[in-house]
Amino acid sequence: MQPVELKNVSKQYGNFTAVDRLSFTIAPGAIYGLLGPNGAGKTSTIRMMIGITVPDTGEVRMFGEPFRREHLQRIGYLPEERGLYKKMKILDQIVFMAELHGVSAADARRRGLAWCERLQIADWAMKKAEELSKGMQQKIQFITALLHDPEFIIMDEPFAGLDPVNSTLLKDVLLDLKKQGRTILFSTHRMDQVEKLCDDICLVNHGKSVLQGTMRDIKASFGRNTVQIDYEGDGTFLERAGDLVQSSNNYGNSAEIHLKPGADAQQLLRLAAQSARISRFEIMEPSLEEIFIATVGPAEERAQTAAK
Amino acid sequence: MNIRNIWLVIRREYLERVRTRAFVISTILVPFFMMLVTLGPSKLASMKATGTRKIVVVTDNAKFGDTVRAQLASNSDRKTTATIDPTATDAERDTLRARVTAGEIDGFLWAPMSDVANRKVIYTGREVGDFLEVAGLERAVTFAAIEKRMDARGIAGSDLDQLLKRVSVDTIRMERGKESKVSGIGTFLATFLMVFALYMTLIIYGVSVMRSVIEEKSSRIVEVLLASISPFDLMMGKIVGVGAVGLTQVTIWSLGGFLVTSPALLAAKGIVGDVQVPVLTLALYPFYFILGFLLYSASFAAVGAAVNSEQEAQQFNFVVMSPIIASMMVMMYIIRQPGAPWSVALSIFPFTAPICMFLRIAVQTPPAWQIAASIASMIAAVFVMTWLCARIYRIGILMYGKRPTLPEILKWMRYA
Repeated sequence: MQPVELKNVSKQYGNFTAVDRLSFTIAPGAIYGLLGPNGAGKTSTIRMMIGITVPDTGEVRMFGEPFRREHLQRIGYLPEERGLYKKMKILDQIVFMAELHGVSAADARRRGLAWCERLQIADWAMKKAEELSKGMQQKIQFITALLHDPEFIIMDEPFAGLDPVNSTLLKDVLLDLKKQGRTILFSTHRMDQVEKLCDDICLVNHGKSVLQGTMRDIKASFGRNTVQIDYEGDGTFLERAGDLVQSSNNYGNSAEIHLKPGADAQQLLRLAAQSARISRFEIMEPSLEEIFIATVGPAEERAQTAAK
Repeated sequence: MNIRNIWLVIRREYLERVRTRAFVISTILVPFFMMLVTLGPSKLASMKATGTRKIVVVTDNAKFGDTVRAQLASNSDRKTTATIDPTATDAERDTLRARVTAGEIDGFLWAPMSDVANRKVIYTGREVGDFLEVAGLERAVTFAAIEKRMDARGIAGSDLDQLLKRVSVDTIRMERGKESKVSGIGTFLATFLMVFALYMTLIIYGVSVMRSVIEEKSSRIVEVLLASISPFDLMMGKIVGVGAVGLTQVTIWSLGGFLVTSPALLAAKGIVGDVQVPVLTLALYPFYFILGFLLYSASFAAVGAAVNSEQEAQQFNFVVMSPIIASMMVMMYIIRQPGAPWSVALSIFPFTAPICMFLRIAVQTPPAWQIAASIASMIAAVFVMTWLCARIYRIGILMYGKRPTLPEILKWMRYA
């Protein structure tokens, strides 16, 4: 049973196509990354998964059947736009949201307090939301998304505005949930933040899927053509290695180099070692961001030429 | 429709509101304020001014002067001693002016018989703003003038008091063949209070629904809520929850009104006569209240969903509120002509029915079919409005940024 299956889903707002024939499947127990720049159609896609909007064409299937509102009790959603009732007590809000998801008031209270404990905000449970800092409010929302113990969890930009300590705290919680067999969808434009977490990804741009698959396959297919060198001394080896280097960024003691297709990294190392002391030489996987730009860039150019 | 979710929203809206200090304060202060506004002025105005007033009556006819003095002494609102001054010359007038300025006397009435014959006399004084006192003077002078005229026609003026006795007209209201004695002004006052409460709650709680929608929208809570509750359920829960708060408040007011303000009511009785609100009026009040509230709060919810802030809401608000305001403006017309075609039309048109029909019921017993028609039209309008507004609400609540134009809102209604 696939928690989520989108088949050729499209959504139009007036003349604007927010989602364009998008299809993907999320495997049970996986962490899935729905990635793309702002305005790519990520939130529109999520809204169709939870029935806030209905697709114009195509089908959304949740837990192996066409979407029904009853599915919402099995889904946890942390929206990109955060919000709490300012004047309401934190614990009351948590209980209210959980009750809307079908949890009994007593259970919600007990679990809510346990979660507050776990996320280190138990002291604030009886305060009003307006007294809390932004980061704390975000943790509360995180709790409300998880309190009804959903099988499928949607996190829209979950780490935006969080400090590293709290980001790690939430990441650990999510990895824990994954271990328990929950399925998680990350939607974000900060690809670097979720790069190490995702099993599978879908890159979207202008409402269309531009790249899909498991993280491992995608990275492998893009090859390892980026080299990081930390050095002391003469940096002119970069110019001498013109046959090998596609492009480079030299920061003085450290350089990031994109090799030409087919170029041998070992040759570059030998060249560099002739003139400088090398303290680090690493052949790196391309980052998701680089993959995204590499995928979208030419398409973008093609689109622009076509427009002319 | 998910009844459990609607119930959860109702409970939250209700409890979060009733627990606030604002609710407690308004529940206590509003009736107090209304009593003050409605009863205060009439109570104050009817209080007699204190202290003796000294005036001089300038007249060349001794009998006329005596009658005026006697009338002032017995009939005036304020104790008045008048002295007669028979010299009506310009020099005397200046002297009197000087005495008024010096504060020796409060004023003087310049009433030589030539002026009385022209039915125009002048009172010069330091305080001439009190119309009740001026009216007292007028009564005394008129009385004396009539006596004078009757003398001239050879009728003995001594029985004038008897001749001029007023005949009072009491009002009795027929309601389903039963007669009940009601004072016109008393009924008016009671009705006015009820209509005013209706008007206030429609506006205050209608706007309160709107605020609550705007709060959820601007703080983006709605995004989370919609992941578990449908927009229609959310809107219904909100309307019923806020409405229940309004109903609670009105119930507290009316119960408390009987207990706490009964001395004030008794005082009011002294001023306005028997206050009696017919049974039909009381029985129909909740219907008009609840239907009126449902009708307007759905529109307010739609406005709240369409805008991004309360400032933006104002323009739309006026459109929504204008039928209520219009109803209040035609209030006097309806009270005076409850059976006129316009009154009937306004009392059946759903948006003005809550106030207009209720007013008519208070002052007459409209035909049963008209009451039925007004309630039926309101129920129909509640369904249509809720359906329309739910569509605006559903789309609007997820639209941030620019304020939508009216054509855009109309377009939302057509979205599937």
